[in-house]
Amino acid sequence: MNRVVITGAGVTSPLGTGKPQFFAGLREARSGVRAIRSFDATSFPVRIAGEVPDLDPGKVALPFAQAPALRRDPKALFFIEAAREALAQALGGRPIDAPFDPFRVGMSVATGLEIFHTPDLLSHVSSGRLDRAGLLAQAMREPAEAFMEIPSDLAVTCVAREAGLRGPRAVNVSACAAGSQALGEAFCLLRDGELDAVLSGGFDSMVNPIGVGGFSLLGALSTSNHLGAGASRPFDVGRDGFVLGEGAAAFFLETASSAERRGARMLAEVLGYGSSLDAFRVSDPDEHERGAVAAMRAALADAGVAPAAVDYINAHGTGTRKNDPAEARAIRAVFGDAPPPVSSTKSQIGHLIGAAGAVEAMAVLFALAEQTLPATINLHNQDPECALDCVPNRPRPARIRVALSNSFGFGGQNACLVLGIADALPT
Amino acid sequence: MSDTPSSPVTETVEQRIIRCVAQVLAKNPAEVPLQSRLFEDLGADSLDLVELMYVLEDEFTIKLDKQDLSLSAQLGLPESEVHQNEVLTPKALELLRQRYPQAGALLDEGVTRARLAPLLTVEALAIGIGNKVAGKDVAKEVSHAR
Amino acid sequence: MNASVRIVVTGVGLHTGHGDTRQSWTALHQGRSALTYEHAWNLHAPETGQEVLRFPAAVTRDPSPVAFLADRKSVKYMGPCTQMAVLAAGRALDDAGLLGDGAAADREHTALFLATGPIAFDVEHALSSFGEPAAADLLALRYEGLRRCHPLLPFKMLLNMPLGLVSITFGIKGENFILYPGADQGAFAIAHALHGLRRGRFARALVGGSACSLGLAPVMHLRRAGRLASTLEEAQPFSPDHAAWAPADQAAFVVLETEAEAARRSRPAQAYLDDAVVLGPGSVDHLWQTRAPAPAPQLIFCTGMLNAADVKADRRRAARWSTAPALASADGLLGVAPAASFVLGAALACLTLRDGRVPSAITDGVPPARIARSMVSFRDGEAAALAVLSVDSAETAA
Repeated sequence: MNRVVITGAGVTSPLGTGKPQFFAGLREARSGVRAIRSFDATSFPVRIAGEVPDLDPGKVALPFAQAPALRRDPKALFFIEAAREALAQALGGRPIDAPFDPFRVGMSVATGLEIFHTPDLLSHVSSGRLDRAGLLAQAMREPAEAFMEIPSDLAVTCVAREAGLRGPRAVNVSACAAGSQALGEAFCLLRDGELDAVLSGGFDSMVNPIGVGGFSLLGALSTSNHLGAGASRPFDVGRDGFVLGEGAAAFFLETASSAERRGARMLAEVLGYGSSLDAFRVSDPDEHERGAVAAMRAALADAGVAPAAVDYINAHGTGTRKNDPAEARAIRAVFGDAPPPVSSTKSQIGHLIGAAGAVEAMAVLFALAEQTLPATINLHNQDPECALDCVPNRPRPARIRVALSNSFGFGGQNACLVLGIADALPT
Repeated sequence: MSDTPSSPVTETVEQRIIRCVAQVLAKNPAEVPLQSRLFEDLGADSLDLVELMYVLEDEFTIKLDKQDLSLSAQLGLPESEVHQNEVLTPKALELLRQRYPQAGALLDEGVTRARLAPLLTVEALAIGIGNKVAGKDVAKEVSHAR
Repeated sequence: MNASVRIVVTGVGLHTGHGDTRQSWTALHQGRSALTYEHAWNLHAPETGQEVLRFPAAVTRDPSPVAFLADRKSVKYMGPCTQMAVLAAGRALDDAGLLGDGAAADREHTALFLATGPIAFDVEHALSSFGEPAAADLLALRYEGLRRCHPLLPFKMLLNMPLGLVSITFGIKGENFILYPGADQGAFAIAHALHGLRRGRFARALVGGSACSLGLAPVMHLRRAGRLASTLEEAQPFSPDHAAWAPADQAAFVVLETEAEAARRSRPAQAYLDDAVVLGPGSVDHLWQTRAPAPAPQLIFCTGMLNAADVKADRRRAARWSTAPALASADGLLGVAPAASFVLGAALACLTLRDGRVPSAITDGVPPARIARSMVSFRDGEAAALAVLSVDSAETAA
């Protein structure tokens, strides 16, 4: 069994692009949530989201053939940027080569729903019916790599080619749990010696009419547009739903021995992974939180870490009426009456769906690197049913050696990661 | 299918509500008695109510919101007389206690509208929706092929 | 890898254009095709009615999974990918003796790994729920247009719903993921299950693929990429005219467990899963060099073959053994749904091993007399994969 470490990391999020921006945003307890700018949301009940503020699609270098399709899908560009930052840190900008065997370097990434450029479709709709023949005619005229392509697939291919990865690739679409699952699967592959390194992470953007509209229809989103940056309020008595966010995070994972051999700096160690299913109902989480408890316990057992050794929990913490108290109960079931501090990064950046688990893992990296607990912002009146130390409003210095990150997804998928500073455990 | 000519049958509001509830819960209308409680007896969940609202909007060609599907909608009172910050007014509580004598502690002072959900019956829904469409022609001419 | 822990297939479940597992397997033995030109996806110019696109495809029959549902209501959350996943998963669990009251505890610790794609979102289904007045709002992507959408539409759009609904329907609670969009993802799911079983992370895994290639967006993709067969002949994998695919909606599931676990449950092993591995671009030769089994398999189920050149390449690879295995592919009779195709290949390999014979209608040349080991292989521009199944893994010791 190998020890698994992170030697490169990259991120783009509503707090900005690049690790320095992200860490500064956490340090300063900033919010990336504001009025939606990327489409005209005036007719929508939800008009706020966490958008990446500073990535110019035109400035991202892309391979010629795939560029038209990639430039139209923000999440693809988020991933390419984040992956480049992670690979630059891990490999100094070189493609995968000796000492790595390219066939033993893979990818395990998470992404979200493909909307297939709804405007392309809608221009052929009249009277509620789609003119398929007209759509096909346009499809055949358009450049080969644009118009209803699968940008996620292209983005993964593009990054793999650029980096020279030739190992297996997994593209995980498990919604809110996907990012944590992708990291967890990468961890398993490396620990078991199936591969020597994996580029992992997640990318997503549902900040578009279909995403905002769809989640609005389900009543899942906060409609407190007037609060703007203050609308994402996990654990607060006034919370009224989650705020959508977008972004990407990428991590280069390798075995500790590989990192040591080539003198790579270890940012953190991945200690354990737990994954479970609620198998309860489509509409509601299990009121006994059995799936969440099982995933947390499994992650801790996998890491060989007792609950008392966990210094920080990065919560799923969506800010919906149901999730937060349920998660609080689940945490107390696992950690007892004095659980470690818990905070929700979603208070600052919103819910990044397929990218959430990955970007929140980056928040854990911040905590480990700066020995500072990220805050839950917008916490003015904590819900007594969320009986936790939620690190309200301001980050707090703390001794953080081991942290747990939770992702509890739509459909009942639960994924938990245990991360630690590189020398948290004895060899 | 029979050869006899179909005759127009007038569906009451209650019958239309039953048909909609049955559709959403994948049941036969016969399995949806008026007195049955949506959550407790028929196994509805929060998503079913979201869907039911959509189906009812289509059925009655009206726009509905969550309040119209709550237990207090049957009282036919303006909202300000039903609740203050979600807590039911004494007036609304008294009226509900008369209609639901078995409700006991569920209708204690201080109860919020959200906590009334277990009491919601098909009949209460029908009255609430009926209130909303009051003024419209609620009896629909429906032709059933036999 | 702890290769001494033997992993077995104890259940297989299919949903294809021919129906369930038995119907599909019987049809293949009888050489019956599920492909037809008579389906709803040919395109006509709206003004003249003239046909602008005509192609063969496999249409699934009656994908409703109601028979497996304790709660009929949950069908309303299911798009076609989800329905087929529930059906095929249920059949595989049934085949493995994992349905029924006594089996509930076994399902609690079962892992679940799926592949799906390329899209769960049936565009026209969505549009049909809008209605005329909303179309203008929809064109402008204003909320009023979206608001007219049926509230359950988001469920049918979410890619992970097949996994969620299989989990809910059958009470499966273990380690899980759902991947997308291609055939290599199904191979990754099988490989991952194999590793986890050998490592003891779980004692049982339900692995499947459920894919809808017969829909507006997938058909557009295939057509633009030049991969949509215009004739039945073009869709026949071993024909010299083989040039493209006939799209299908399909699902295939297998139940994998350790040999010890199968024995504990007194379930026979239908086949042993000896190996499963996936790699990235340009890796097929390396993959075969390092992982092709010895002794040779008698049969290789080839998935992902696009045209005659691909078949020629597969035949060349098969010639590495002194007795070259025969190639097999059900693409010409069942059509292709990439995310399901590798698991389908594994399921068909399993049925072949169970019966000891492969349907001649799907075999390239003369079917081997006795089949004790079968490979499943996949290759496209971005990935390569193989799996090895056999009737007795004692023979696989290299």
